[in-house]
Amino acid sequence: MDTFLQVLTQGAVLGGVYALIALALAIVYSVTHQLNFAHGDLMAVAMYLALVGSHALGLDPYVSIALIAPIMFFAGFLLFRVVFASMLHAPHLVVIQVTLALSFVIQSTLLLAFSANFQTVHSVLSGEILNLGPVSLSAAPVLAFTVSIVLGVLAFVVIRYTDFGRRVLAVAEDSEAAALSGINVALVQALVFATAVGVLGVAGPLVAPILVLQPTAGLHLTLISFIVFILGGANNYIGTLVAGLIIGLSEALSSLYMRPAEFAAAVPYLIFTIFLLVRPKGVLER
Amino acid sequence: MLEIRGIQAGYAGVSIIRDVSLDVHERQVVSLLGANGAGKSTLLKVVSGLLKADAGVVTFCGEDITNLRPDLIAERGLIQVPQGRRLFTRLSVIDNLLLGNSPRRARPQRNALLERVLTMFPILAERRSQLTGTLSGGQQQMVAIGRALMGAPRLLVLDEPSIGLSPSITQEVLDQLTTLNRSGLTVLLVEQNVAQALSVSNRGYILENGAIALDGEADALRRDERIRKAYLGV
Repeated sequence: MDTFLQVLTQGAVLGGVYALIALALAIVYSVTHQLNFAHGDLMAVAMYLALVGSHALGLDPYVSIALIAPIMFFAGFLLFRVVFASMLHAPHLVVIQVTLALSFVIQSTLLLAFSANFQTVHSVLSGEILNLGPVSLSAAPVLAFTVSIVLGVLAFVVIRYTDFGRRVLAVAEDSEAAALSGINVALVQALVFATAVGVLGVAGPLVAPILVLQPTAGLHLTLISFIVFILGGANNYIGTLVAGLIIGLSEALSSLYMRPAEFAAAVPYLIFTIFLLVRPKGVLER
Repeated sequence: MLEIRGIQAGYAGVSIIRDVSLDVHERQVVSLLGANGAGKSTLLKVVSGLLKADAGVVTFCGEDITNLRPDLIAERGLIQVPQGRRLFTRLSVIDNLLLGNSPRRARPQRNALLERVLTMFPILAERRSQLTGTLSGGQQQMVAIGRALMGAPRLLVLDEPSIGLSPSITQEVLDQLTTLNRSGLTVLLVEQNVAQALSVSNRGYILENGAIALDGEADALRRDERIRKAYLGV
């Protein structure tokens, strides 16, 4: 029973991070209608930046967020203006090709710079354990979960209650009508994209002490973001959060119970497929 | 105030409108009339910056605004109520109105503009929290006009406001335009509904097959034999 609770909690923790990075993907998609196949690779870049901060500058990964998040934000802004803005009216296939290429470029660059060896990043919380009644949890994942949920809630508050958030929703629903109302659509899109990449700049260092770093780590994160995003339903940000938890839990539980264990990694995709058959418009849509 | 000179535009190399020229003077109501497919919406897209002109010049308040970005054209006070209203249906009435206040020039007057719109359309004050997707057609048109007014327009352009509205609701909307015009607003009204549009206009232009076929004072157009036959059914 203890193991079950333990794994369940781990799954929820993982799910919280998945929810956040899928939310970043979902909000970008709603204002640009572009699916970014390099989404997870951008997060891998942030994880390696945390590694550099830790090894070269002696910065704790949690401290380095203060540097990495703004760097990723500005990199995201430039990336949108230079690459993504020019294919806003391009067919989906072109967007897939270009972002896949970007994904390969990032992975190869990481490989050149950091080799293919698995690497780990230590933080002040490494080895720290939180005892909560029957479950003992590593402190680092709990922090990652808490920050993810706080950022997710913050995103809702900004979208729902600020002028900028209203503009984001307007561009998401009808970008022409938004432009006619005097909204600089290209700027809103660039800021949303930059914020999403900035969020990856927070999530990367947060999970760097938990996950093993390797240059191809981004692919898994991209795929997980995609299935969480689709499971949540387009333009349904709460659905995205719920779907993140579902996928995180299924990944954790399958690693515990699935036999042979090699099939464990397939279980989230299986659950995704079943949900698509039963709820094709997303977990919360009827 | 608005001078359109020799505009040519279309899609994928095919011209929809050719050599269209049109003037709207300050404090006038001018209607641009024509059947479905005559090119009215294409011309408006050029004026509001949604479509690039292949030739010609659009001047607004003495400034060349040809092919400027739509939000910058709205910033200059040329604000369009798009065809089919194009409301943000998943947002409330008040959110839609506040979104219309996006031009920087209009933002300092936000509260005054909002009060004016809600006084003009009291039903919108009652339904301020309702999602606009659930309003009736007439109420949606009020939100669309209110949203445009929140941008403090110097020239209000309406693309077929009568679409989907009953004749009596259309008349109410047109009466509101007359009231707005009396308080100093210049209006360019694009309509298929020739009789009702001319009844509230100073001048009119008839667009046929992408070119201006006729223009003149509204009263003269209403008496014109060709128009009576082709558009008024008498």
